[in-house]
Amino acid sequence: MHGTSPQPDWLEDLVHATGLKREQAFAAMMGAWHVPIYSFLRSMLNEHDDAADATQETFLQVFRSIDTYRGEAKFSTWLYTIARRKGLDALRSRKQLALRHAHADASDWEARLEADPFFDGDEAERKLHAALQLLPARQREVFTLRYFQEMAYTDIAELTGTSEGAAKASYFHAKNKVQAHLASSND
Amino acid sequence: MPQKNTPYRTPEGFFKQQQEAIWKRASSTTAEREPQRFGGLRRYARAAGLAATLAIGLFFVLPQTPEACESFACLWDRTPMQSIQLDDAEIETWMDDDLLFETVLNETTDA
Repeated sequence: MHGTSPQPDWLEDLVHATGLKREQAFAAMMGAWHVPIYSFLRSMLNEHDDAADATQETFLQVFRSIDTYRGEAKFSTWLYTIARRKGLDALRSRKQLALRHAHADASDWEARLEADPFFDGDEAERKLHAALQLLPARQREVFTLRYFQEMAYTDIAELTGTSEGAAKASYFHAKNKVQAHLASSND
Repeated sequence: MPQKNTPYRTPEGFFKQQQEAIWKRASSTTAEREPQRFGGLRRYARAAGLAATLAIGLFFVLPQTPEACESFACLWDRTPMQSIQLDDAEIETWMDDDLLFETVLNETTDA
């Protein structure tokens, strides 16, 4: 995939500038991507603390690796690829595995979300996010990228190392499961 | 990139504070790296030699990579440390299928 839109100035400065100009470019990049990347990782990891750590590691990695970014892929895809890698690293942790271990069904997740001080969704949002937790991780990831981040299937495919067709299929299955869960919970 | 609102919230001032923390860490790393650029090749050559010796030694001393686990219980038991030693293929397998987790849930319930 090749980006067709011109690269923003901050990206050019981030790669080539030094000193204050680079700090400003870094701040502009963070301003554009901090919230989306945190949201993506929060969806992946559930916990604010884990998402915050993975977000921090993602942007540090971006800073350290920016010299290797050649502009062949979209910057967003490159950035999300790093974030996904940090998220997967975090998923290996005992804390994350224990979290999944302890929450076997949707009602467990709903109760957890209701008690979470950093989740202020209403009942419908709790049900939606609880239903997402019951999906296989790949489907949850694709659903999050497509539905919440509104990413194109081609970008999702590149990011997750699958085909565009497989990404569409994952989203289709995830959406059906979520709809079925929400319908049954409303009965 | 457009994105829908999510119900996730963060502590007050979280993004600003984290941005400052990241920049601080990033710039301190850069500062530490700078002198090394002029440290000469000899230091790198010595480090590379040491790394190669260590790698060869560890290859013979350490047990070879264990076979891929087929159950979550196996993964769980594999390490007593803070993280599970999932290699990239294993975690991609898990991404496609939560059976690794369901297996251990069932085993725990049955026990």
